Amino acid sequence: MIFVVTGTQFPFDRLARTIDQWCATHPEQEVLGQLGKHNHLTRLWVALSQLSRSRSDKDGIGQVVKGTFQPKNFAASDWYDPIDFQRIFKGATHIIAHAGMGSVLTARGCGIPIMIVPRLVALREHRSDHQVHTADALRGRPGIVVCADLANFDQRMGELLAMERGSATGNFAADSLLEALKGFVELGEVPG
Amino acid sequence: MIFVTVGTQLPFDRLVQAMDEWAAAHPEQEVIVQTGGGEYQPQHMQSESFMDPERYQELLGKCSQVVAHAGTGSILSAQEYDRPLLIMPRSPEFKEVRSDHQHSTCKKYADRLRVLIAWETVDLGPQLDDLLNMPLKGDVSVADRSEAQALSAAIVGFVEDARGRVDGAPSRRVVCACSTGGHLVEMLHMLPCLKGHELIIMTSDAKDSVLVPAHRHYAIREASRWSRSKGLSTWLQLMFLIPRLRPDVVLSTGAAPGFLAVMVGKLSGARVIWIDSLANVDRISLGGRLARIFTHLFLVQWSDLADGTKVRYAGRVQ
Amino acid sequence: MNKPRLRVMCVSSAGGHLVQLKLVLSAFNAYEVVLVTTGKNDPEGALGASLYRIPEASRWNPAQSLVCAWKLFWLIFRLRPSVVVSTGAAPGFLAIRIGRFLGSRTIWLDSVANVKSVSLAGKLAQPHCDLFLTQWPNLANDEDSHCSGAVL
Repeated sequence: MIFVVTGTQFPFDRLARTIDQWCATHPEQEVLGQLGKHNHLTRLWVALSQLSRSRSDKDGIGQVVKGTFQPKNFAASDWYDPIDFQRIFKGATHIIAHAGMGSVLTARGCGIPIMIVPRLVALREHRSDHQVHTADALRGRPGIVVCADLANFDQRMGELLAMERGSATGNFAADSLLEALKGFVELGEVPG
Repeated sequence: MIFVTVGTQLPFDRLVQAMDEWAAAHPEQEVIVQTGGGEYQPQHMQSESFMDPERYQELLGKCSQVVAHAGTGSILSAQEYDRPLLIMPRSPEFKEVRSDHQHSTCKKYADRLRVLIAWETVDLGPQLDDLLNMPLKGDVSVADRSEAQALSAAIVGFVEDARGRVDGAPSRRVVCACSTGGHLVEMLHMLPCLKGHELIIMTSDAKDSVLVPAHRHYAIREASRWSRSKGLSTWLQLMFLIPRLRPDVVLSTGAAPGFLAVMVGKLSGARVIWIDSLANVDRISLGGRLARIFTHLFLVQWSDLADGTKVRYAGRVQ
Repeated sequence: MNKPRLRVMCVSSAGGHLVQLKLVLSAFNAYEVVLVTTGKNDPEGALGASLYRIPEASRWNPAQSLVCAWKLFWLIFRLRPSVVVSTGAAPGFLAIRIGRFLGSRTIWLDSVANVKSVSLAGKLAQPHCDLFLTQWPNLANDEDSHCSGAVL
């Protein structure tokens, strides 16, 4: 089962649409999604920005941020209870996620291959472009496929499905980082 | 290398000049002096008027002998590094200090191992010869350790018995306040026994923070009877600081900022310890006499100062 | 009385910041750890630490941020941690400011997601931190920000 995780803060309709199209041609794959939704305040913010843009904006970008796209070809929910979420996540064979560190670290901790798609500021999917930089920095790490451009989605999907679920190694921080924190609390040492 | 220090508070030209003359006669000896900003300019030895705590510690580590005024800070520091030490008391006669407490300190140290005393400048030459002949490595006397341990035990006992003001907190928050210099050196000797408790250090010099890297350090304003600031600004500063830190215990080794911290600490509901400085041999310091009514535990470091009731003797820092 | 131990308060918003904070919790094994986060429900629990919840704060929601700041102030006042640690976002910045004000020492561990520049909350928190760590060496200047490794 492939689990789609796009964070709970904003929706990510661009990715949801692409996956929906992919599912139409791959009915043999079981896909489940947690797609997120706007909270009331961001909904208001989006509505206002739509209003101010509505005259000049004819290219359909505005449609994307509205963010209540309902996929037809795979099961999805706005939000899962964290206990269910954890269970589904751990039972998945592959993960497709936005380039947030929570998903990446959790997937790595469980040994599940993950594809990450960065959110873009230009399409109003996030407040800054840091996900693009995160994705660049993570490219080439074992168990991670980076799909920066959704035009290549099918090809990247093939790479992802070719990966086997590894053993659950568990997560760990660098020893030097833990030592730095311990050293500061105990002795007031500042590294460097 | 001989390291000469006169402390950070006042100049001591009599000692600096005598050392300069001695250095002129002994060009083979390397001498570095910290003059405290006196008028006399040494010609035959390297001099700096004031030093950062880091530079001071570095020179103490590098030197082979220490010559100092009879201030407890200098004495304790030299002993910490186990250096042969020669002390000369400042005298109120020459306006080098305001009371003759350094003579009294010298009397107490007269029979100590590895401490030589030059009462006057004329004694300095012969005593320096003795100092240079002294072995560089001494053996630490057992009696001294037991005094320090007894003092530590008294402090730890008090801190751990103090009522915690925060529910379930597994350690006590202790504010340690004092002015910079000798009072701080004595304080630094007491801190290791409070390991595991959260310490917040307040001294009257911002540069002291490097001496206590593991703890939060606040610089408070200096105040004294003689300085321009009579303590009102320090008191205001502490009135804003101490209640918001909510310490369980306030500990002070002295001088005016320490007294003010003890007073504000008591008002804010903390338990309060005053440990009178080692420098007060004949009489409890003025700060201590004023602080006495605010304290829950009042310790002196010389047994003959204890009065058997509130003023108690438990041991001394060394 | 128990053996004296320092109290360390770890603050972050839910999601990736919290995942990273949990990865470094083992550094504080010797201390009493208090975890403060904005999540609603957490199946992993607090990994042995006591857990407190606060509302989310952000630039976009000043009213809720105010509630968050008040709750943090009350928590830090009541629990009086010796050290406040945060991996990020707005509640972490508030905790660093309030913790510093109430006498705690403060540590900021910037999120590993910030590759090209330190996060906005991190930049705001930096002057109030006793230890400022980033997770990418190119962001450390070795004077007031350091890099000692990453959670990756």
